[in-house]
Amino acid sequence: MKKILFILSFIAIVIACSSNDSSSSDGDNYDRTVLLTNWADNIIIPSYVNYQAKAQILVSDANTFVSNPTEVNLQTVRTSWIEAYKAYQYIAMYNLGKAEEINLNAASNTYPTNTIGIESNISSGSYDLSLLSQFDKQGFPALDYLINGLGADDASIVGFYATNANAANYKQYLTAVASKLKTNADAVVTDWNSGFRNSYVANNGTSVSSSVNKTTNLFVKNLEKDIRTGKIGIPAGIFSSGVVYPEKVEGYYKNDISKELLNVSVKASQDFFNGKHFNHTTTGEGLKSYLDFLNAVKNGQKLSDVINNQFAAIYDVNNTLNNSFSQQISTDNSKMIAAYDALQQNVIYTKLDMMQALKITIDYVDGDGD
Amino acid sequence: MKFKNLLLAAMPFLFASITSCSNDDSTTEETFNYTVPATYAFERNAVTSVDYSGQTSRLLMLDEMGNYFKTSATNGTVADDVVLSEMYLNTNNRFVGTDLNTSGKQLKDKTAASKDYFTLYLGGGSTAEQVSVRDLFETQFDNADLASQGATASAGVAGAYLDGTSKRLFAANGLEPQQVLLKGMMGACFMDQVVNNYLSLNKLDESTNRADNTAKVLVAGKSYTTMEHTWDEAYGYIYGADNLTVTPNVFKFWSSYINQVNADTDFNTLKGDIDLAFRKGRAAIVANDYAARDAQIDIIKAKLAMVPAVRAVFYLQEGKGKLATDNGAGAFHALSEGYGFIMSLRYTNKPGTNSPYFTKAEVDAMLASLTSGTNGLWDIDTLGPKLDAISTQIAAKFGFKVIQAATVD
Repeated sequence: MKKILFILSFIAIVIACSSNDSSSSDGDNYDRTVLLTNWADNIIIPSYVNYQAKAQILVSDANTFVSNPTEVNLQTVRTSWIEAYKAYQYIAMYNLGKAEEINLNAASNTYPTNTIGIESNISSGSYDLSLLSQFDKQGFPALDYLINGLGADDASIVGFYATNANAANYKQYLTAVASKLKTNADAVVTDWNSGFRNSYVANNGTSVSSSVNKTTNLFVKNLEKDIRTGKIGIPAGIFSSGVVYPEKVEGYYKNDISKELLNVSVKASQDFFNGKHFNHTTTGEGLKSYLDFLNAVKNGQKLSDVINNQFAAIYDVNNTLNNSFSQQISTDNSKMIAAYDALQQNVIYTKLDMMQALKITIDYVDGDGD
Repeated sequence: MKFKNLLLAAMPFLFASITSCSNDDSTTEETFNYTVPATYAFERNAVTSVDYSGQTSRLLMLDEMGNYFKTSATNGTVADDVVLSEMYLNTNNRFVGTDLNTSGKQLKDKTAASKDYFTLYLGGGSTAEQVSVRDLFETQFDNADLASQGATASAGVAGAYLDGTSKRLFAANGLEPQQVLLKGMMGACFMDQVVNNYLSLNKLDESTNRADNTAKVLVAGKSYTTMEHTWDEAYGYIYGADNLTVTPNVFKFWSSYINQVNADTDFNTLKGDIDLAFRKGRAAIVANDYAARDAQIDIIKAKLAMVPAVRAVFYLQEGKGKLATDNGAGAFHALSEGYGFIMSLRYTNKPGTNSPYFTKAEVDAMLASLTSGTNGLWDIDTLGPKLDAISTQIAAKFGFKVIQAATVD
């Protein structure tokens, strides 16, 4: 009798708990392996391979410029710098594996860049770019300074590499920074191609450290921190009680590319959301199809549509912005605020609604203080 | 014997499982055994677990800013807009005591900054609105500066005038920058932080807060859980600058106005209700009784919203009665207070809606109506009907009569 009671008590537990919770710990029957395969093979790896190629061109053109510092060669470096910088926006969110290990993001795109530190490195001629303390003296923002910010016009910039007393050191630094981008890209591509891809796809569970959870968190974090906060929020004064920082925009020295970099990064974010193959029109499994599989809705509308509509709204607002964000901030910061609002709305849809629908916990915290 | 032990061991588990799964089943109710203290005093290991020093700092900052206007008006000195801006941002050591200067706290970054309305954009909020509200307060500093240059306030002219025994600064439209700041900030900062931030489930239950609170995982180096502290921070924005150890007792901002509303027999349970709800909710958090906590949140949100509603109507009606005094100028102080309390209504949070009782558009329309005459408030001939219309609109929304709020008896 007591034994029966004991068994019954467990049955009661099972019944009581299953009635209001339809999702078992095994997950939702969505095929995460197909999802991860699409992410790895059609999006992440091709994005890195493309970035690696663009970084290679940048290194070659920088070498050409260094061995023959002319205005024409400077302009060529600039073009390949922009192309590589745009390609970088497509890999910025995948802070996984080797990229995470070598801090590829911080080494590639910490801005505003530390011009005093750069000049100090150049004059001493001695530095180790792999150190954490050197991240704000390298990457695309440092190159921005080196090829756009050293002088008021091209002739004077070329002068630093041709006639300056320290020209050899300037050349050496430009080469070192460009090469570092390339070697970092190489390391990540090699890693994905030699085992990481398989372990990434095989890690198809639902735990906090599973590939789907980690990558989805990175997608949201990239949209919130790198795109919304970094590209718009900080320079527009949203985190400094209205004190604006036009010098903290991305691509400050080139100055007219902040908007382009923003739009590319938003496109990369949206493409990932939709499972769109890199550089192809084909789409495969992605967060969109996952949400649709779960029938996620918001206000009677498919959540995936809500999110894509908001991406459209983001482009609309972005299109009202000046190519130069530092100019936009100085002339009419309210447009930057509007761009921030549009981005934040999609942070809400993805960070709150999407993560809730996917039952994925946010793995990073906002230190909003008291 | 062994089975008996096993059964006994399973019993609490069984009980726990039934109650933990009963969230959507109102027939079974979990029982909790805890007492609600008579005052807002909570301890853990004989050390207080209550801390709202950051809130106290901000209340004192606003208090000192208010006094800066007052001193300027009384002494005929310039109310420097730069100084006021720096006080708002807490930069350049503008406060009298070093405590505030070095507190690391400021009012500006907590203006229209709640999680629900200005991060999650519930209740119609946005960053654009946040920016415009902060700008509006900055404009009050400019208005005060302009009004303190020596002119006597008159229709369309910013300046000072003697209102009874107090000299006050008025903008060209008759609004008192000091009152727009004080009452407006009570809404845009204190109210917003209480009901849309610290009493928001999105804040209280964010991240692992609930599990941590249930397991009594304390904040590193502190005697409270994050959830307990969050609740205390809400409390602090209302009562954080009170001082009950001096005679007469000191009450600031919402605490003071809760008392003033409560002094009217029509609303004489308000003070006790809010105070009790804060104590109950805090005790409930300690006891992991989240249903009770949530019930107290609803009480606080509803009761606290009554305060700006009742006071707005009170001041509009008081102003109406003084329109004939000094060409209307005698009314403008009261009307400015009312104006600020109407601003505050935008930051209320109607339980269950995550939206204010009045939308931003509705609040803006009321405010615009008040200053819609030629030279704003100075157009006293058209003001009376507007004041009545707004009073009725507010009273109706909150279920009281204009006369109940207009007379404190």
